[in-house]
Amino acid sequence: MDTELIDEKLREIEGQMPPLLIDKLREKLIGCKNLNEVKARIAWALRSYKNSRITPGEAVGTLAAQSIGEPGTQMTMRTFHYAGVAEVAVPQGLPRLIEVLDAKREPDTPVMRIPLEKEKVKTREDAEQIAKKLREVVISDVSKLKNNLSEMSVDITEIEPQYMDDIEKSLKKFGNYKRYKDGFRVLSTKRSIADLAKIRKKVGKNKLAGIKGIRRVMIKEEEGCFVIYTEGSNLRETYRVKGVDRNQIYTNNIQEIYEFMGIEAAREAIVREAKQVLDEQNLTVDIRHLMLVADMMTLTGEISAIGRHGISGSKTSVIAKAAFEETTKHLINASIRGEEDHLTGVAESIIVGKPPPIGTGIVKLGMRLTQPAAKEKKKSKARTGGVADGKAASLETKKAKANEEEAESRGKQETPKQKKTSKN
Amino acid sequence: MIAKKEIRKLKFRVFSPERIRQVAVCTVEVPDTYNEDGLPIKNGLMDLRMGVIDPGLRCKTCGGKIKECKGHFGKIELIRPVVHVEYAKKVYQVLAMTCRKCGRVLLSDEEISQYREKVEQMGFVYGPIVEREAFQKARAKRVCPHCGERQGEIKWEKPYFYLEDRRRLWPTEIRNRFELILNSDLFLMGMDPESARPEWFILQVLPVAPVTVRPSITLETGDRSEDDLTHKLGDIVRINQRLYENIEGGAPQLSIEDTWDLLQYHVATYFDNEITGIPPARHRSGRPLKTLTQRLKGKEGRFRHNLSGKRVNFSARTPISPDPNLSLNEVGVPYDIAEELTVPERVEQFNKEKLIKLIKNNPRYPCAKYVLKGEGKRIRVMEENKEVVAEGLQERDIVERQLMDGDYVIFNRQPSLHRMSMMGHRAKILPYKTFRINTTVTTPYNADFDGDEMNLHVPQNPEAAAEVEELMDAKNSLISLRYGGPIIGGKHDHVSGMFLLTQDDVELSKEEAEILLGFAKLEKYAHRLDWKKESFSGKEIFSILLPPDFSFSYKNKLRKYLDTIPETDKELRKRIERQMLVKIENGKLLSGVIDAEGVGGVLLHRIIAKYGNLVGKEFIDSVARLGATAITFFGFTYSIADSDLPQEALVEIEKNLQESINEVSRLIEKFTKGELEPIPGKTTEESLEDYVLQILGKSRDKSGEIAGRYLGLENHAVVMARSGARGSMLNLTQMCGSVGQQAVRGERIKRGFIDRTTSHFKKGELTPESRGFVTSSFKKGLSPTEYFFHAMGGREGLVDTAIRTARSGYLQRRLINALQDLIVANDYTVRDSGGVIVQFMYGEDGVDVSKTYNGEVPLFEEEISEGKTIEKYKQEEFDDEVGMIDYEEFDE
Repeated sequence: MDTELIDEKLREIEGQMPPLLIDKLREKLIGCKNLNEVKARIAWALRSYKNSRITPGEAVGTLAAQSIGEPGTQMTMRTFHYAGVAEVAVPQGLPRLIEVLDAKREPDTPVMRIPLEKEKVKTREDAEQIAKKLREVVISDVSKLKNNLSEMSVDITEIEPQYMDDIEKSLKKFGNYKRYKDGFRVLSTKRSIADLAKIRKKVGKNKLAGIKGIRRVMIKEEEGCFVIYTEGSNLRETYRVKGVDRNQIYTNNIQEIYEFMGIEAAREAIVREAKQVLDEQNLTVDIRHLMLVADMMTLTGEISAIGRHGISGSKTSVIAKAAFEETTKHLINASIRGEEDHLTGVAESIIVGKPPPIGTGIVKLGMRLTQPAAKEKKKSKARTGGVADGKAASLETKKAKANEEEAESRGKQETPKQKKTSKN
Repeated sequence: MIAKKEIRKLKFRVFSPERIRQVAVCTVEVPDTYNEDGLPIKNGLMDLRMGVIDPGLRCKTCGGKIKECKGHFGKIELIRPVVHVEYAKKVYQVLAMTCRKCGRVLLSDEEISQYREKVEQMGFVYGPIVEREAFQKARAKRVCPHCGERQGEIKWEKPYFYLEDRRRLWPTEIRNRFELILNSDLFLMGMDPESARPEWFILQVLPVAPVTVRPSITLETGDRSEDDLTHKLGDIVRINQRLYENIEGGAPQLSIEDTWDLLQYHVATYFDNEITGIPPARHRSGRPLKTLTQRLKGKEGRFRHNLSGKRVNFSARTPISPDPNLSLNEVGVPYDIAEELTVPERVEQFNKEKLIKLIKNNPRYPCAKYVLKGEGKRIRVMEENKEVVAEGLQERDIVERQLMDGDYVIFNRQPSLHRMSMMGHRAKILPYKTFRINTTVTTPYNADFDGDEMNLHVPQNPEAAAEVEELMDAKNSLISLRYGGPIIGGKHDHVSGMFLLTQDDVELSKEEAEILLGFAKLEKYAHRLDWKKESFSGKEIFSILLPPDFSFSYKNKLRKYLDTIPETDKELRKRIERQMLVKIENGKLLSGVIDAEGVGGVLLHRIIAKYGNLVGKEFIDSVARLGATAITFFGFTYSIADSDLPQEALVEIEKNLQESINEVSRLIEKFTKGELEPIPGKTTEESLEDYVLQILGKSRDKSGEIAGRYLGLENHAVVMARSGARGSMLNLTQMCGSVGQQAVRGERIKRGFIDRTTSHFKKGELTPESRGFVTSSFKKGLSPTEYFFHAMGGREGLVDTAIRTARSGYLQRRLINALQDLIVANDYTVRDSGGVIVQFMYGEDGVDVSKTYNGEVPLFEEEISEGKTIEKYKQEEFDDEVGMIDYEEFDE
């Protein structure tokens, strides 16, 4: 079928269907034989889309929460090893899901996947060169550190020879050191054993080469491309390394993605990480639920956790916060600030005994009571009069009347229109 | 609905001393409760002016009887002021921020006005930031910018002591300072002067909770046991009294201060008895007292237990049991329960006669128990007065009748993790004492019949009943909104039954077919069979359940099995392939076998999508009945003998295992020699473990394969595994092949003794059998060491489950709390209760997952059902429901 004709027809339904679906439909329509078929198929697809739309009022938040929470009981807790494959053990299942939703600063095991540029990196040696640049080398990796109590110093011995100069350079900031032919001696200024331990720790952690935080690197060949897997993550630094395919680099540290690439990227990462965890457990959860959670977590422009330090803690309603966690803290703070609770949420509504504004609860229906029967009038008045005074009652009926009239006039306008369009 | 009052908002503020005195109806001065006559003592802890808890007495403030009077606050005038613990932190902040002499905030006027501007512009954003900044700045000032006074260093010694330059600041002094603070400075400390003045954080007068809040209980012995709060208040009154006497009696300053601190302690623990740093106040028995904070906090606290959790009437609970004769949206309710539960029904013209009949039927089962007259009178219908009540029945009266067949009820099983954990069912009143449900709805409830109990709720007005029917009905929950696939559907025996019935060679005689359909109660579909024929194939019988114009083809679960058959076995592959490709045309099953994918998977999904929930429900119901009947028809059993393997199979398995064990020992040898090539990024030890696990895993799979081959396709366990009814080939492998490697923490078992797992092995031994590899099968039986390793693995599983439920339960609670306010607005945006937009289009396309195919919107008709040729579009008419097809163009 002529693609132009298809495009023309599809343009007619623009706005009635999400662009993504229209694109999908376009692809499928190419196989059509004639224009009638195209039209018919578009009509069918549009109807199918309309039939599958969500109902306004649907408690999608609760649905998403349940859809993610319910399979939680079926997940494993264990850290999973891929038997035989040289990959890092990453926490899977429930612990990882909790980690993602908690918006932890750093995951338990941060890992990166760094594909290398296909054109530039052709041999394993090239890849190894890059991997070398990535891996962080610290003093304790290439030497032995010992406390020397007689001298009150930390001795660095058994140094791999090529690092001697590097070590000396990095020791400069400690000032008080001596170089020997096969080692160094860092002296304690405070001359206390506690200080020695501190110095030893500090010296040991001193970076000599590579990128901070990246502890292990592994090279794998995937589809003719070299990919480096790392344990430890540092997106910002890795991004600068030459030979790295910047468009495909990935880390499981969501906070890092947020800081380096912004909130939209972080939102994608949350969806992706959560989806991956669930997929690996063979649990199917629709992406829409995950997107809603991710959107909620990134709503403020920063990543906020699911829980008392994040979304639940920053709610506007005092009662909702108090009913969740840290009850007294929220009540006391509210009293100091003189806060007001307008009781618009679900938790508050339930507590004060109102129908919550969710689902059928959002529908307000005004109805005019039937006029003729005099008895009825009295009754309705008596009923409302019990609580609200007569004025309010009559006001209510007036409002209801107005509503109905409006609805009627709208209805009248709409019906002929509909007929017209259909007769066309 | 009847007009009603609604709480529009709640405002929180601090109780000021003036308000406390104003509200208080009495001053508590006597630390006792009742006199010898058992009457509350005047000015005592249970003063009658603070409300009543004894029947017969009247409140002296409002004159109400018990339950009528909600209670009134009293007060205790504290001789010396004390700090309110809950505000102790704020007291510290205010102390540190203000001048000791003039009471101004230790910030210059410019600074203050700068902050004020910020807060006035965007208080909700800058408020907390400004407060933090102002606190840091003001605290650091050593000299007051307003009066030039030197400021001492304020230290807060938790929980309620304050020091200035190491000198104790007593509450009286703090109070005096606080009184000087200007209202206009308070915003810097996050305070609203209308709601909270800092001096109110120091208590001069203590509000006494109404008696009704702390009722005493009378024990069987006639003794009274007072509430914890009353005990605490008694302590406070007593110490307050002693402090008064000390001061009046001119006691030494030190002893006065001690008593004052004691008063502080008691008032503090009255508010919170779990303050870190001070011992909790205890009851005589040694149990810590439950004071105000403890009443509110936590799962059993007021908020979560009483306010968020509501209790209901018109509900029932009893064990459940299965009943295949019920439809999936029915529930069998025992007579005993139906007699107790009532449904209000308004008398109208159309039902008056019916209701009169029900009234007159008293006291036998379907009867009306109460009649509510318009004036709010409630008449209990009894045998004696039933005629009179029936006579006087008027329209608009409300009759409460017993639960009857067809009433919509809500059925629920805990834990309610799902929306599908509470679904609408139609009641069916049955004998015996259990609730009965169709086995197909056990999945969404996650129920089984090993003693599970479930709850039932009866909606009490037509609006609620309509919502149950339309929104909650089980037949409208066939498709899960978690993943967009069927969640209710045939399973277990239904699958096995259909699998057996729809095999290629099944041939039933006319009589057999009659019997089968009769038992399955499928008479209404019987006309779809051509009864002139002498015999029917199983596929023909299944076909009567399909809608006559339904066409569809798909691959069933055997596709997974096909991959395991070697290419060389061409005959078997061909056979399986034939069974795998299911082809349905115009409501006839032409080829292929119906398995789990059919009665609970793709096929079911397509039927529901094309014909709606009602047809879907019918299909599930009838498939379940036909499947269950078919399985009894063919007979389906399993015994230990069914997993018997011939001698040569056992030998083969044994050989296979031995081979891999040998292979492992070769590896170990290599390892000990240091020749083992490590996996990049891993140590040699880790690499060895990886290799070993790989070899042993393969070896177990191989023995399973051997076992499966000898068991044959007709073996009932194999049938179940392959049709997806229950169990897996892995289960079978473990039963008759070998159990395989046991793991703890995802590794081979290595813990126990020093350098070895148990004393049966040598130190440092790395062999499979010493590290938890179980070569035996369950049928053969495990050796003692194997048994022990298996128990270790099993124990880990149990611990894991226990921890997991707790963790995931909390995760779910957090998720729900974070997301519960989100709804789809009328413009398809997702908003929270304040109207904040979270998504501009729900899920980016505004689609309901439960109306999709695994998350996808079907765009082509063929995606729902295949078979219709594209040519048909030439003639076929389209209804103009869509409203956008141009019919003139259509004719070209």
